[in-house]
Amino acid sequence: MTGNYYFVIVGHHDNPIFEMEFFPSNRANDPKKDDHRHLNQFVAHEALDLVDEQMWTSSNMYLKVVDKFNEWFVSAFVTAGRMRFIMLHEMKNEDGIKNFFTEIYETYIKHAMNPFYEINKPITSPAFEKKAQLFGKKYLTG
Amino acid sequence: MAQHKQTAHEFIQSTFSPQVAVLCSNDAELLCQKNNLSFVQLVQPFSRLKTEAHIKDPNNVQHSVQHLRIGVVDMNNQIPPAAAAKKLMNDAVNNEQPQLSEGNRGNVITVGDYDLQLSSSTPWFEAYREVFLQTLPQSDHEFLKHCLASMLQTLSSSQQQQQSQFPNKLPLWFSPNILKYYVLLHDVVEAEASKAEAVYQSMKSSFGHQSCHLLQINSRSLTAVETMKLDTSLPDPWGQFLPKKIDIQEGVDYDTGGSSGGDDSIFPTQLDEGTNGNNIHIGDTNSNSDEGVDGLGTINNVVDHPLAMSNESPLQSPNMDYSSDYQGSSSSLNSIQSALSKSSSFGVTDKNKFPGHGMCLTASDQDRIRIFMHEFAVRALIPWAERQMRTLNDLLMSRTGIRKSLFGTARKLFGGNPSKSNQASSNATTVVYSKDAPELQMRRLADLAFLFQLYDFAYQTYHSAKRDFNNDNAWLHFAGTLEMASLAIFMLGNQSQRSYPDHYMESAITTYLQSCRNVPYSVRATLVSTEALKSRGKYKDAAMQFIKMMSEDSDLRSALLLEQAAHCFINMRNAMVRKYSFHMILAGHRFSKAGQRKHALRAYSQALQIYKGKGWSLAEDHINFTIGRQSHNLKQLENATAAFKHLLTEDSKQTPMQQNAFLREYLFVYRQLLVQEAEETGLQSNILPELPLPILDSNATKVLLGARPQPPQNEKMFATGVWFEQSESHTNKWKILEDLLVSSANGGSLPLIYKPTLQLYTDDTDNKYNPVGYVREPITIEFYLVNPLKVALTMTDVMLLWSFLPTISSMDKPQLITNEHMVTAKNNLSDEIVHGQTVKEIILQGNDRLAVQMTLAPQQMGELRIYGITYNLGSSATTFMAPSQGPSGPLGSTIAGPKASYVSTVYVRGKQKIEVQGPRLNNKKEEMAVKTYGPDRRLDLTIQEEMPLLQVSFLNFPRTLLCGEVHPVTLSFTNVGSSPMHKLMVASSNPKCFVLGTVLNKHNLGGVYKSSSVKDELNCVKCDTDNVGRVTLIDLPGGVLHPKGSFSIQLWIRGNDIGGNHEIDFLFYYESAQKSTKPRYRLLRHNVLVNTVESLSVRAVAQKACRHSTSNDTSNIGQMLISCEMENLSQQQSGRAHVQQIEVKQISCASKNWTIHSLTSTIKADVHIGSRELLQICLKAVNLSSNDNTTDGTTFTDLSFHGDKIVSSESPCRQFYERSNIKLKALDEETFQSSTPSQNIQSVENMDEFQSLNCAIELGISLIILWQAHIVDINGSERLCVGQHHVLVEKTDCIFTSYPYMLVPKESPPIKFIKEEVTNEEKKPAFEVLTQLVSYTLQYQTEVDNCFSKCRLCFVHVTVVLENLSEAEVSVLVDTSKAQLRLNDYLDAGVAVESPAGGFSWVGQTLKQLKLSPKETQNILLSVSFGKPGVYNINNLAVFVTYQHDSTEMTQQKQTKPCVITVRDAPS
Repeated sequence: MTGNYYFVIVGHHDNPIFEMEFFPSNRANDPKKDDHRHLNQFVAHEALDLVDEQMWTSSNMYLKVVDKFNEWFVSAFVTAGRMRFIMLHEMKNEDGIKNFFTEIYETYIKHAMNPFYEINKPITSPAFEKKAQLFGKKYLTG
Repeated sequence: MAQHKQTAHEFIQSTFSPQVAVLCSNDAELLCQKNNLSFVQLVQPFSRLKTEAHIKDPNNVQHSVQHLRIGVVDMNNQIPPAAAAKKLMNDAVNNEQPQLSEGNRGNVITVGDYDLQLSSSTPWFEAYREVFLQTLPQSDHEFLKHCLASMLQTLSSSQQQQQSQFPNKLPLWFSPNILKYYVLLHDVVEAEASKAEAVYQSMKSSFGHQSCHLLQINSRSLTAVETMKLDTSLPDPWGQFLPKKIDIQEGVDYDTGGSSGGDDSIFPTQLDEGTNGNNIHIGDTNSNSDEGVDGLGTINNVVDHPLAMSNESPLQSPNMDYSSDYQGSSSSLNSIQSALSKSSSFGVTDKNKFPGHGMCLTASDQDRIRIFMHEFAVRALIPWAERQMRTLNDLLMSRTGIRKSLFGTARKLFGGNPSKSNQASSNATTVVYSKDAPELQMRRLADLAFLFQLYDFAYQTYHSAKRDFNNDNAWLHFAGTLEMASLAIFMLGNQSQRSYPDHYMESAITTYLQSCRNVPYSVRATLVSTEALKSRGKYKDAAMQFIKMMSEDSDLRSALLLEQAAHCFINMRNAMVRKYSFHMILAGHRFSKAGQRKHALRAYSQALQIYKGKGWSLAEDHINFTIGRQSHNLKQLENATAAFKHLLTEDSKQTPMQQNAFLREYLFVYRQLLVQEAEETGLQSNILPELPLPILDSNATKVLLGARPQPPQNEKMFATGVWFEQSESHTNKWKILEDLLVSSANGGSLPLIYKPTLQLYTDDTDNKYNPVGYVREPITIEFYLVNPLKVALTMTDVMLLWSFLPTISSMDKPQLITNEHMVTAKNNLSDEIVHGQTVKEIILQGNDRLAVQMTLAPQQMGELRIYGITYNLGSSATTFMAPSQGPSGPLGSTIAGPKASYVSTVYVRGKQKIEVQGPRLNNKKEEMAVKTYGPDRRLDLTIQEEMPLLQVSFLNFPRTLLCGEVHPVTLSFTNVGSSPMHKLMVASSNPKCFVLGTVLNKHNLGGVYKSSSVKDELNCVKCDTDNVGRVTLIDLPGGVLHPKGSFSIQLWIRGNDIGGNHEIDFLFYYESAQKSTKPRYRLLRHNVLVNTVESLSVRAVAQKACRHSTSNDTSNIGQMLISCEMENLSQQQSGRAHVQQIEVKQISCASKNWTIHSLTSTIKADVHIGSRELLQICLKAVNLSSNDNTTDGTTFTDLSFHGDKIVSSESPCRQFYERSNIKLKALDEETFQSSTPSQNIQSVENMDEFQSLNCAIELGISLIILWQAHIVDINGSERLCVGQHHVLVEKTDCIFTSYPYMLVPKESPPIKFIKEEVTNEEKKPAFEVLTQLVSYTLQYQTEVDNCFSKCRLCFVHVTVVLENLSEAEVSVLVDTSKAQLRLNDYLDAGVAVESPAGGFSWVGQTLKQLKLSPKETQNILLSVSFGKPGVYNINNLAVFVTYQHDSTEMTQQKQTKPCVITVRDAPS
């Protein structure tokens, strides 16, 4: 259940609209955490090709592990509105990630219904962030 | 898209082509050198057969051989050692660069949202592949590269027969029995043909005519060549085959040391991905191999890329076997390299004599060479191959039969299945075959068949060989046959029944890699396999194979393969753009590690297309940073600067530290760029570069005409003027004041062309017109700097940039002058014209917004345009400086020097433009359709000739006043301009609070109020309250104030009646005495805040004087009793300024027709009021007799409590009284000019409509209370101050206070959406007025004695005196019958009445009607009868009055005092 996680919601133009990293509490202030943040983005971005390919092959929203790069697994979840949730993780944690995706999906839908939120624009809501943090603690790092 | 020059088939065919070694005699070689070619090179263009050849396979089936290519190699040629090969490959890759300058550099493809520009080909990859295959060390397990034949050349002219002397190091021969072919070279020009023919004949006789050839070349002599040198139109068939000349310069600028070299140390190390131990674990497993690789002598510091593919199983010293052989061979590297690049180096020196090749060869010569090659191939090589195959085949057929039966079964029986399981570990136990082992023979046969395109046959043979090798655990051989078998199928193409066996190739590569640790061969297999896959459209598999070949040992190869993989991704049917970009990044990283900077840059730039602007900020930053660094390394400073610029974005996710590093790097590179540009152009360009930081909020720029107001000096306070912090509402206020001033200066109306003066130009003002500045007067600019970064920026030597177009009367065209210079030279011409200000240092904190004010003072007339700012941009001088940041680099000398803190960092001098945008236009249709913006000229100033400039100062201007306090202030005017001024006026938003006095001279200094001992009580002064307005004219002594002239006047300030903060605005207006100037007047603002403290509150009530009922005289009709109540509101507080005591000095009355008199006899009463004390004074008001009231003026009556009388009719007391009475509209409502005069008149009429009635109750007495207060200051010192309060007693019986009524904001009724019928209500005078139109008094005998025993009824006559108080005719109805009990107000009086109704009754006429003309007094006689003795109040008359004719509108008049009558029973 431990290990680092990197979660990103990717919009329709391949633009990240929400990013968050989850660290196990004991490794929260890992010194190396800052150095490879761009790598997370690279890997997540790269996986989009495979997500786009695989989402047509499955009727499930949760696509499980779609890609692997070095020590990173890439899990994905595609919403009905074709928003792509990408999760980078070091350990397999299928159930946790699935739950996390489902919860985030629900939160995302609520957020998207806000008339002041434009689809595909970065999510800046602190409430959303808090929720994500909470789910991350609950299902991923906790 | 990576398109290769060759198709897959061509590529495989040319990769696996029959090799022929050439041994050339020195003479023959020299002959060839005449053409700048070696023999090998000479024949190279013709080595591919144009025609079809035929070959029979061992089964005697005829096959056609198409486009057979024969590889010709020099026999002396050696495979270079690994290190040299590495260098060669590096060079090859480095020399192939994409043509950056070309316009059609790439083709644009659109994938989804992405428009990508891709380079259409990757020639560097092909070059690498070529060199790689050339330098691939030959191995024993295959025979593809082994030479099949040797070609021996000799020269016809040389006498002695060339002995076949083989060089020491031989190429690997295919078999011991190779084909030997003898060629006789004949120079047509130099040698004799007959001799050649003779030699040829002898050769033929000794070697057989099949293996001899006479080649005639050089039909053109050298001299002929020189004459036709210029004719270059002939195609050069050699061009593409010869190694390109290596540009020495190019060769230098990349380094072989794995990672980028020393330059990089100047960069902060945070972004060096490799250095921190993230992925060390990969390196750890490889540490053994690294040792071996390091032995190569190249600085291969194993920097693990975090992006590096971690192969499933780590490689164990992949190329140990041959790398160790060539240890230390790098010294010989150069010689070998040159040997290879120039081929066998015979006449190196004259190589460059002629630029072209084959100069001496005519077209027929070329034909001859072609025929020669064809002859060689068809006559000699193919038959030889046929023979060879047949023998090999026979040999094998005989052997395999036995072998198969014998060994095969034996293995089956005893050996089990030794393969698969221990594949990986069985490396050491590779079977070593003898040279002519049957397995090798089979392989040899297969290779031969493959080389001569007998693919079907080759496949069969490979397939059977494969089984053998597999059985023998000969993995290398096994892999080789697998590879070739699958290639054979591929080459068969559609003819084969089998599908292309991917898995063969897969396992071949895996076996090469894992079992044999033979990386080069696995790479070769990958190269050919991917070609095959690509040609079959299996791009994904190809990509996977490329990626699989990524390893740590060769960055260059990894980079190239990754790039190819990336291209595979983009070429897929569903192009994988993002995979492409990612692999380009990985490739770029590897390129940079391999020292291939240009390629790294290219790869990163390619990838940036996909990441750009998508919001992957960290990734984008990484790419931009790398591009910046690589560009910098390649001295493409412009690109580097641009890339670094992109890093400095607003919402970057980088840490402040990182951003600081970025900033520093950006500045460093940018500065280098500037230095470089300066060097290139050779002269200091006067155009400063534009800087991106900090962000200039252009539209927030404000322009102020004038300088910063002077700060107050001691007690002198200067007019505040205009400064930047002004809210919008205030500008409106000033505008109204200006309107008032201008109209009063202009005789009551605004001039036709009038626009209010603007002194401060902001985004909100109308900037359609150019601001007008004046010579020698400063102009202040305020601009806003915004720092988007998280780190501080340092700006030094900030200056405004301007251009100036002087208006010169002379003929020559004025020249535009600017102050934009690279160097800040002293005593510039520009400094003479405009005095500018330089701000030494501005430190802009992270994410900060800062307003900066700077001034300019033009010294000439002209047009001044402020277009930007110039400054040195530096990062903040922080502690975490990069170690190499110091004085290194070319800039060290310029920035060194212990000046100040801000010069210690790297900085760049540049500018930023201020470009203001006008308001969005939205009036016309076209303007609405598009975004158009109006002009904004606030930064384009017109500088006009000098004007007078007024300076106003206030001496002793108080900050705090008591309410009502009058404070003298000296107001000084100075003309600091250089031309005279006149027509000085002042307007104020609050004219009630100040009074201007006369010009001060020495002897009228002193107290506020004038006092005199004259006991003249009455002072009739004409008070013209109409001229009390907002605008006041100030008389100038002499009419004109000359430059440097000054004068002072007295000003009294009175504290507002309401405690609190009050704003007082003064707007001074003056005109230049010179007529010519265009804006005729100038303005000066002063705004001051005065705090008032509560002091005295006065309440006054006027009541009609109580008249004694017996007195019959009417003299006291016009008398009033005024009771005046004064309260000291201030509280005593220690530690704060407070009022200790207020002493009422005098009460004055100002009224048109009233005077006051004291009621007390002791007039010198104690009138000190302490804190919270109340003083009541009763006064008598007496109406002035009509003869006194002749003038229209106001009479002032002074009632002094202390000796000297203050002349209240003098200034400033009178003026303040005047001001207290007037009612000014609020400034906002004060529309200048009666723009709608009809309305105004209407309202005035309405007011006057009932004036005749209203005067019935109006008094119009103003009490002026003059006082003196003792104030205790904070520090305990006492001071005296004087002041005055006003109470205007308007009506009787009403309490009036000095405290102005607060206007309660009216609540507007709820908005109704239904249209209501507006009922036009008739105007009526106030009810209060109607009930007091007529006053009546009863005159009667107050005490009546009646003998009730005699006369049961007592009659008393009562005279009712009716007085019409109004000035209108009224009709009065006196009704005694309707008299009700209206005694509620006088209950105590009513106690005496026993039975109110029955006590008495009016007798006689009960109803009387009469008319009263204005002010008329009439008497009515009534009778009242009493039945009993007692005390009666007989005032129960009902008096109805109407001013109209309609009697129904009558109003009952207010009852006055009770009228008491005492009826006594007198005994007769």
